[in-house]
Amino acid sequence: MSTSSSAIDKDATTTEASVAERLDAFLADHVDAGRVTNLQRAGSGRSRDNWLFDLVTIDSSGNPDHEPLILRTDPDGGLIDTDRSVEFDVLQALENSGLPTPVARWLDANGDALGRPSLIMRRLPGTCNYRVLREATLPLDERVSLGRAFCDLLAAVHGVDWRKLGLGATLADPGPHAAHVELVRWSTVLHKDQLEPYPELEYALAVLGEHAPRSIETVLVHADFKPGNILLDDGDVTALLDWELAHLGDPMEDLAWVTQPLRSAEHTIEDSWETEDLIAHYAQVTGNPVDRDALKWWVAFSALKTAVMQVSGLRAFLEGRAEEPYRPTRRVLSTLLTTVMEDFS
Amino acid sequence: MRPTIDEQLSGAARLLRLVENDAKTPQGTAELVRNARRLIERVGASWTTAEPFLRDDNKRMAALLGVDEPSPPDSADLAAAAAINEALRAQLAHRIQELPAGPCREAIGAYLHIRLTADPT
Repeated sequence: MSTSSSAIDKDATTTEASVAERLDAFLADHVDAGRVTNLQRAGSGRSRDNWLFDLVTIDSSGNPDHEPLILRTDPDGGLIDTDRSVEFDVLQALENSGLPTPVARWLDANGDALGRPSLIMRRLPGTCNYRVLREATLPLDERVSLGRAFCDLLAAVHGVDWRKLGLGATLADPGPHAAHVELVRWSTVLHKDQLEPYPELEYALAVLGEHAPRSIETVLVHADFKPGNILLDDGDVTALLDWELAHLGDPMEDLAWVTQPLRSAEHTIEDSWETEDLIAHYAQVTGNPVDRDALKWWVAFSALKTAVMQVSGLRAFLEGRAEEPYRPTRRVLSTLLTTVMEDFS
Repeated sequence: MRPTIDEQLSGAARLLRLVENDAKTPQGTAELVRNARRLIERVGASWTTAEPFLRDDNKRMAALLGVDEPSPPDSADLAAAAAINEALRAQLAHRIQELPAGPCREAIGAYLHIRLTADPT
């Protein structure tokens, strides 16, 4: 570090040293003669709490073996509280699913060893790009192919035989009441985290509560499916990441999340891969027609969920746990009210 | 009074933008500075209009709820206007939870939608 480094750099270095020390101690309990090398914070932003490193061990022939790993730590001020041990169990169950998911290696569920609840996963090649479908430097046909590949991946998630994989032991099956269960889940988060009244959100909760659709099937729902959670290596999907919100539920929840207007810049390409193309491709791949009424409900729910995440993020920021000044934005609240009033009144 | 409040806010935002756009600024630091600059710009864009908006909104909400408007604060008492607004919004949230679907609830929805576009904060 240069002598002119700011206090922030100093803080980051201290954190890196602390992470290295904790990792060494944690892995000493799990691996014989392992050594941590190449530790670095993943990404450039301070909001990320993922650390990349290699674990060097000696194989049976006496040669060094480098295992690329990633430490995923609960941020102090995450948008939402999720259970790292559930994510760990889901990843372990998915190892034989055929889905491109990272291998989960170790879990520190309570953060006793690593400071905060953490899991360590095998690192896969590739990078995430939130806006890859709108990346003007890529040829249009490549981007459309990627859009289809993402949709195929979503259909594959929904096609997972979760019962056979034993996911029923970790995740509760809401049966036909998935919509109601999710509405209650996010209503609970809202009422726990809100610092002031939000009649806009109460309005949406009231209307959506009266129109919750019944699910016709229960599938594994990723619940935050987006290009930003998909690793690409030379144009190929190598991993679907961030399973912290995964649960059993209605496939329309994920389809609505990727077709909601608030996220169209991530999932569509103007005039070439529109929302209707995505829905038609999903129906073709899954072989199931899309229930448009149910999809409308889940689209409105997606806006509600986004708003509640912002409410939680605002609290985290004001309590000094997050560095991103979240707030329920006019765009999100307006989209939510418009959707709810036009489609359900 | 120079610098005015607006001048101080825009000046602070300008200085932060210099740090943000400096190629030597580490990306993580630039992210923090950008967040701080955006907060300052938001305050700069809304601080003069927040209080009149809240006073007007309090009147509208009291009418919608059919309650007497709480004693309006002295003009320019932003904190008092905000406190009344929060109390009325709590009443409105409670009313929504009680109301069945119908014109009364729809009127509240329409008001909330209009409020979103008018809210300068």
